[in-house]
Amino acid sequence: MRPILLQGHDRALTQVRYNTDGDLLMTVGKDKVANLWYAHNGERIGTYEGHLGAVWTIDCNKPTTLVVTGSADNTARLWHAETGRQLHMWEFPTAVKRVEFSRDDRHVLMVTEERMGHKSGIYVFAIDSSSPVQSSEPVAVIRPSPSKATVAAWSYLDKYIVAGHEDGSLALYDWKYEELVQRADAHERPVTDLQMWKDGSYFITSSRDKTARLFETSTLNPLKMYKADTELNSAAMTPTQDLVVLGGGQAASEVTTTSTRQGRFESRFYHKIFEDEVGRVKGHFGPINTLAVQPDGKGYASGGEDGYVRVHHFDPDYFKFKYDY
Amino acid sequence: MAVTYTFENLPASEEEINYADLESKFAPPEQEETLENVVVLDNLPVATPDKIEKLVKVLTKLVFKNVGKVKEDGLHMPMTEDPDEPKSKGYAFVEFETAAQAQAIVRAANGFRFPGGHHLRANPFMDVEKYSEVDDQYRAPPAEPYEEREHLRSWLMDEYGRDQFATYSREELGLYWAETAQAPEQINARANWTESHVQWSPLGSYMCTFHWQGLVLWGGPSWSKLMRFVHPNIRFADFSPSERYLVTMSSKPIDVEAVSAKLGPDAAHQNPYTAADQGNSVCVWDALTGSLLRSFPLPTNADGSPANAAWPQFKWSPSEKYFARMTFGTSISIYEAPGMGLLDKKSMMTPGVQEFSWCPQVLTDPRTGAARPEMLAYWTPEETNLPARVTLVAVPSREIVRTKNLFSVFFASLHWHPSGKMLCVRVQRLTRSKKARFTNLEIFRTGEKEVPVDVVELKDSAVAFDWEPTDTNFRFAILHTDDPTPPQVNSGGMALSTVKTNVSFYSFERKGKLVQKEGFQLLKTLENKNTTSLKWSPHGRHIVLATLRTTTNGTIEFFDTEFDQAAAAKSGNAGDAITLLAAAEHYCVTDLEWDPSGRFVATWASSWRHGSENGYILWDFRGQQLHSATIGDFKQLAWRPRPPSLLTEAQRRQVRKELKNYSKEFDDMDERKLHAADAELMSQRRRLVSEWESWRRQVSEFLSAETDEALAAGYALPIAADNDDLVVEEVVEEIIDEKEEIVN
Repeated sequence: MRPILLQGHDRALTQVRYNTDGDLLMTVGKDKVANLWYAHNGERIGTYEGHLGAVWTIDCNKPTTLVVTGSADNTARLWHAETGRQLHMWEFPTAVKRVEFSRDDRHVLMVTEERMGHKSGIYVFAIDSSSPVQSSEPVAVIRPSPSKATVAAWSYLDKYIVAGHEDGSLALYDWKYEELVQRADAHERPVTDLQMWKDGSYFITSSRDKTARLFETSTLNPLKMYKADTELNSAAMTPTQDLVVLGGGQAASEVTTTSTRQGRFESRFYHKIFEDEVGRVKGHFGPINTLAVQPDGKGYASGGEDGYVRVHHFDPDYFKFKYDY
Repeated sequence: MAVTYTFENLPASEEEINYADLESKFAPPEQEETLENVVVLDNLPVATPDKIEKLVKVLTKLVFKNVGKVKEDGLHMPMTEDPDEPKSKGYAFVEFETAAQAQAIVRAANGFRFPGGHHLRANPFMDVEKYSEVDDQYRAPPAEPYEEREHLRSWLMDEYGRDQFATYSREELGLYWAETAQAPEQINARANWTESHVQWSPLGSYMCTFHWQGLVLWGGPSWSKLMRFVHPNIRFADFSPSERYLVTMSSKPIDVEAVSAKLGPDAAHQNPYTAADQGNSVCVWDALTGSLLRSFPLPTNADGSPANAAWPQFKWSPSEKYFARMTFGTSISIYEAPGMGLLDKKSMMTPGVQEFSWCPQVLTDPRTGAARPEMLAYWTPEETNLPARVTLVAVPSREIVRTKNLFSVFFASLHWHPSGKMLCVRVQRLTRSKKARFTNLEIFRTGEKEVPVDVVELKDSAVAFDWEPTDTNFRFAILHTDDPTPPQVNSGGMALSTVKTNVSFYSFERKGKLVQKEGFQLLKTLENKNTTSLKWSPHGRHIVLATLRTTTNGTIEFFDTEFDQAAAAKSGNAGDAITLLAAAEHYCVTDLEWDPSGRFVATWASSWRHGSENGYILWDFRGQQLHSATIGDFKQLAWRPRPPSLLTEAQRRQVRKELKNYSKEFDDMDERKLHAADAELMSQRRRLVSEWESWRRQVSEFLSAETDEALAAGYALPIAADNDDLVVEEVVEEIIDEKEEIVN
């Protein structure tokens, strides 16, 4: 499994994401650029340029016609996927940390940072994919409290929005009524990533408390827990094998004092049901900031603080791997 | 009588106010006439009236001295009523200014010896009263019901003969059985079980946990609390060799009042301290009953300033009859147990003393079989006209058994062989030019008559020394290097670079056919190593060379000193049998410990020294890794020691002979256990999978119901992600013909 190294960013990666078909890979980083790549060979298709600050997050709709990005320049932008033309710009008082298209592509959620007296918010905007003109008026705004939201995702059938918070808790919001349905203490430290299973019925979270956990969406019941020996920045699930991938490493500020061996910059694979660690993939020489698994389960991509995206395609042995039971 | 004032009956002037109630409330308590400052002196010389004055003078001058001041007319000496020959009755009541003075006098004057052979007896007057009230009739105390204590050595009866160890990390203190083929089996684990570290008693009966209030002993099959020792701010604890006594030391001196205050009025009886313990820091306890035997202050230098409080404070003789403490550079104080008194009431003056240690065993005379007196060894450095000297002293007689003078000594350290039959003094010497250092090993054969001394001279500096614990050939390994300056270390005590070292093995050769000269012979030297530590297996033969506490290296090498017997027989040099069995790597390892049976080696990386990859690895004696665990903030691992084996030498030989039969049995046992564990793991996994699958079925039913509902409410399903059967329609436009027509 020789990875493809994508060198399209000259600063730390913030998010990598595959499109629904799994043929395209979107990456964003602190260098203000969003890149689009062919997933199978790592050829760059193009960039989405216009942001004036670090780009924190990216997503596209199911047919990959529209791309939305969120940035530290306090804007979120909608792009024409194919041409890279900017279609719309939403403006916020603070940075946009996470965007995600709803399952029916009719809405997009945006999580904003808490800063300078402005509370963190989860905004929901309607998206009209038939027209280039979009509304700047949010359909719904959720104000998480007491702690700010760090990540959010759409539940099954777009019924709820699940959010992870700075204080390690999770919350289930009925976004149409801007109401909190349920809250649960999940982690001891901030939640750093939250990725849904394909049907939206359960999801994985990663946290700085060195664990990743699996929760049922409708009840927020904890299902599984994966213990790592380092702070985690991202967690993803493989759709075909019962595995999860975790990534992290020592905080960026401490990295220079340690060798790569001590930094624990490997992607770690755990068995989803048995919670055992089954393997590690080395390569990055900085903490892994973001992970994404190809929707067909044939590969995964990791983006690191070191500015590299590593696209891995699994070996045939991987597909033969089976746990005895 | 309290009067309640209202607006109607307000007094006209201040004088009229009735303060009676306040006065009675805040009146100073009436001074009680106590007799606590009165001392009864008995066994005084009988004196006629003309001599009484002289006697009083003697008492004041010699006995009371600066300790206490007698009150005016405070001395009362009753006289006989015989008018012809009035004389004193041989006792006196003395009233001192304060009770504290009286107490000090009781301590100082009791046992004072008058020239005439009178042993003065001093008692507080209150005691006389107390004891005179005691009923003369003996009444047996009610017998307390017998409480069966748990078997403290139950762990030795483990069906598989396994060994236990304790691990301590931030999360918990855990106890485990070491396994050969599987992960260690957990016995018990508790969070916050100890506050600083964990320690076993020397024979493994007790596990000690440390708390700010004191020390707690745990043990038995249920791991219940066996004993509690109140000693606030405890830092260290140490048992006597057979676990009879316990010595503890605190970071702050004992404050009796504070202990009582902390315990609260209900538990005041648990305070073991009295005024005499005030300000002391080291306590000696009876480990079985939990009672305080004596407390000691920390040692002071000659000028009274506090000396460096080394640990252990006391070293115990192997019989536990004596324990001794050294005042650096001046003397060694030997105390007796259980009496706790200073042996012969004076310390042994040993000017310049740097280090001392007890012979670890009570030796017996080889001919008569009678026990020989216990021994301790110490060394003193060179002083103006005196050479440095190693001295062996018999205790309690204080007779010098052997001394040896040494020259150009820079430093020395004492290494007793565990059998007590050899003492190696590692002497670091300076060359004549004083520029370079080298090492001499002065080996005292303490087991033999006259204690002959062998000298092994090395060309370079020895930095570590370890005896093989068995006493068949008195082998030892020594780590030596040309460059004895230790490498730079970081704040956690981890060396930042490695030093090239050599490891040499020596053994004691008795006079025989092949050996002309009796003495220590070099077996083998392993050169150019990075080793920093040597550890023999508790049963000898195997040795581990490790690079500990080094950031760049963590090599662990397992050697067998009797592996290649054929090669040794061929060359005639026993050193050729020494063979490397395995070399392994444990990143940033800080500590290494053999288990007491010599089957396993544990290495660990402790968070006390650094923060990366903390955890432990278990190896077997051949260097095969058995189990590794990475645990956040892992601090410590401690094997539970075993008491010495009860088998005789003949029985051991028998076991060794039939080892093949036994090993078959144990292999079968391991196999069975492994199968059982496998089956258990498999069934657990099957359970997890079926749980997961049934949950998924439930969820998909729930989802399909929800989907129907949502669709009814107008939700549009997104485009299916798997578009295998998607029909792609492509509209191809073809220009068939082009015509230009002008339309009117």
